[in-house]
Amino acid sequence: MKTQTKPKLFSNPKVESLFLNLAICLLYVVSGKIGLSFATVNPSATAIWPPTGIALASLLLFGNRVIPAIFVGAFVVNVTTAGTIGTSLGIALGNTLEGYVGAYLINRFANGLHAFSTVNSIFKFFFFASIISTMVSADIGLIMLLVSKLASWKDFVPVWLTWWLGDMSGSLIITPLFLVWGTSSRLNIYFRNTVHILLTYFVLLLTTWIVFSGILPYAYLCIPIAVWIAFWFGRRGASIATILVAGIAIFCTLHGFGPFVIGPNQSLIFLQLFLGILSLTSLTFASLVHTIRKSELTLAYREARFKALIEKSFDAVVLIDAASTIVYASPSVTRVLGFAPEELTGTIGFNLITPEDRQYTMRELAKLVLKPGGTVTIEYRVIRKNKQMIWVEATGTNLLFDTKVNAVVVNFHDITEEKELQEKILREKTEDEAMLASIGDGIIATDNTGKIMMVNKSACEILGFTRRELIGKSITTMIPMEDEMNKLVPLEERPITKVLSKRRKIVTARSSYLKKDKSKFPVRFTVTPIIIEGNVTGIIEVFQDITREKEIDRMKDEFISMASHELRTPMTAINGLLSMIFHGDYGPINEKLQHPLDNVRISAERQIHLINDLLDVSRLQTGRIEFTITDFPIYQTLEEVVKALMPIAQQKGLKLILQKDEEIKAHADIEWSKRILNNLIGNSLKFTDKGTVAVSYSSDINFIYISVSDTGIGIDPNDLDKLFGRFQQLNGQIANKPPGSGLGLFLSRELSRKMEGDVKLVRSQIGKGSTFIFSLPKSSINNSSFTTKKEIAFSSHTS
Amino acid sequence: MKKVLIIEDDSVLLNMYQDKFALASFTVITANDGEKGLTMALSHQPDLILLDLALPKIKGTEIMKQLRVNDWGKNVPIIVLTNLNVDGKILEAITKYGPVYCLLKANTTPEEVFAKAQEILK
Repeated sequence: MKTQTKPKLFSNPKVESLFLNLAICLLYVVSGKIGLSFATVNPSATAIWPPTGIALASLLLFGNRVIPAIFVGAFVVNVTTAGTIGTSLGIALGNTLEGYVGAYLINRFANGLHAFSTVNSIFKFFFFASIISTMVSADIGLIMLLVSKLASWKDFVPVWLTWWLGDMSGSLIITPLFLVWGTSSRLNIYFRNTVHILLTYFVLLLTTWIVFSGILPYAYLCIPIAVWIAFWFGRRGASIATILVAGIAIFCTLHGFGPFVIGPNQSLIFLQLFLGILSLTSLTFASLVHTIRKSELTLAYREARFKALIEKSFDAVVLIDAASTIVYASPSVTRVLGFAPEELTGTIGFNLITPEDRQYTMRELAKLVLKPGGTVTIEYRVIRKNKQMIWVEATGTNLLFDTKVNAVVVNFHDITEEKELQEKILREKTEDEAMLASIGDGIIATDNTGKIMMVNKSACEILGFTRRELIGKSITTMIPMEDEMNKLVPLEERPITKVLSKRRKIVTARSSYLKKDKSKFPVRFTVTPIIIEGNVTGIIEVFQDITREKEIDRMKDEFISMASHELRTPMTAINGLLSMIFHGDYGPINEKLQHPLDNVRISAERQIHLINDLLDVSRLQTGRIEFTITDFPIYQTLEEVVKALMPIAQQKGLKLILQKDEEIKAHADIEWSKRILNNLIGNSLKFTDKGTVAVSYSSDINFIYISVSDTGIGIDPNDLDKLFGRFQQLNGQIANKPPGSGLGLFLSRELSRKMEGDVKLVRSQIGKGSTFIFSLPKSSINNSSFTTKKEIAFSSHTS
Repeated sequence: MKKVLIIEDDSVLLNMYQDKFALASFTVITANDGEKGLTMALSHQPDLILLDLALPKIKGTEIMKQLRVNDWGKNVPIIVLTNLNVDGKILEAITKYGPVYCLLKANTTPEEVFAKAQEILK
């Protein structure tokens, strides 16, 4: 029965209301006529009065718009039964008021439409609708009957009681039927249910018949079956059962059978009371069962959801009590710990934790237990079933005071890998930092804008800054740099700028850094670009304060200079006297003395040569060599040097060739240039036994290249690196060749570089000879006339 | 006969140069420190002075300075004979007190010194 869907049948609300009123009115009249047909104490007062229930149910289901139906229905029933139009109107008013008051009270106090959903509201319904509102109808009806002399005062009590009880049972038996069927959702009937339903109702009908036919006239026998139905089929089943029992019972009682047969009216009153109580009982029971089932369902659903949540979660979950006894372990603990959940339940959670971490976790749990609802996340080590130690991150939530949980919920997962990685990184970082800190060199790393990202301890100590002062600042502003001329190096010429743009490493020792206190120190540094995936992300600068090295260099140079001077004086005497002896100043030389004196002279000359070279190197190093830069013709200069060396070549039977080329001028110091040429050509002659020493020259826009090529012994590639070193005499040469100072090439290259030229070995092969190229700046003056070297009263350096 | 004054503290070198010039019939006078040298120069007024720079008592450059303020001394030719590195300040001092010729002793034989002297005195 679906009263709620009825409104949808009519699109027009007014038409709908009309049909609704007509239907209810009809139902009211029919049921009213049937009820009154059982009237005995008074034609208008009957113990069987279904209209009360119909009126109440209609008003609850459809509201006050059905009042007309009730009023008209009641009037029709009464006016066609007994009395005048006046009394009928009065009684109809009473009946309508009864329904209205009942519906109002139910809506107000007893859940309205859902009056039969809880035990509490059922009893409120019973009180307000069945006891109170029914009195209204009984009172008004009886007054009407008395006023119109349709009843006498002596019949007052039985008529009033009959009226009241009839209405009461009507509301108790009929209203529930309409309300529970009218408000419940769809009914699902399965085959198994159907058999069960039919069987149960058959038993009910049979029992009722047995009772009311008088075979076993004990009305309470119906109660267990009604309760059984209420238990299994709920309120809807119970309301139908009541109607069925009522039908059989009324039929039998009216025919003089059954437990309530006393007198015509009394029998019906007792029967109605029984039926009312039966309805109340079964409804109450059904509602109770419904409530319990509903909450059980909710609980089961919640539990299932919670369980699913725990079991499907990635984290392992255990519930522990305040003493860390595990009361529940989720299946996922197996994955993390290796233990099955049942192996853990009932054990002490701390036993899983390594002894080192146990104290700490105990403290944390103790703190958590004192904070209801509190949460803590900690990391600790646990031992798996296979004795392997792992790190877990656990979050504990104190739900000890939550009656549904009564535990501390601990979610945890394995973080061993992360932890190991973290520790590895930390360890490496610590090692790196220790290493950086212990390095004596200053180390600074910057990003690609020159902003300092990292400095080590030595860098701070050398510069006099604290780490905090340097980090994040620009290296060029924090650490000013000066060049050899004590001029501040501008940003664009700073090595870091060049490294960032050229992406090449720079090593230099020609600058000074200014410390925080503006004091200066000579610095040697290596600036290396940091290139990540092809991009220069910054630089690393490693630098040293070379004050001490410079000082040592200076002292060494001073020593050499001093020693040279002191060595020169006796050599001057030896040389001078020898030359005078050979000149014959001391008379003719004894023939026997000629040879040893020759040897003395060679040795003395070599000594002088060495001392001069030493002195020049020292002067060069200390920056005390001066250059007089002029423009001079290169060919004439070469010719002069070659001529001077010609006797040596002739003596060894070597060809010494000078190739003439265009007239060009060099822009350099002529004396030092001659010295370099003397060295190079002299070397070639010294290390060549047969063949040729060829000197030639060429030029480009900026430079003149003088080539000195020989067919001598050549240079071992292994010795190339040593070639230009100080005091280097190559191993293979020492054995059978006249030793030189070992300074010649070094001095030549250093001198040429001071004049912005260079000396390079461009070709060499053992046994085949070598070619050296001496480059020097070309004069910008193109015409062939030249000015001679500025006259200074200074003798040339002879070699 | 030309007169030459040799101011040199190293007696071996002093003797060597003395021998060289004496053999060529020069009148040679010598001094082995700066003070004596200056006194002898002013009193004997030689035609040429061979002067060492690193001298006891009065340095060679100081002797030149003193000579050049003297009427006679301001034109006397001087050959500086030294084993010091002649550069910078020393060279400046030497050239300031010209006419002066500077020879590095170690690189120069007595013949070359003598040749230079003859060239100057010609």
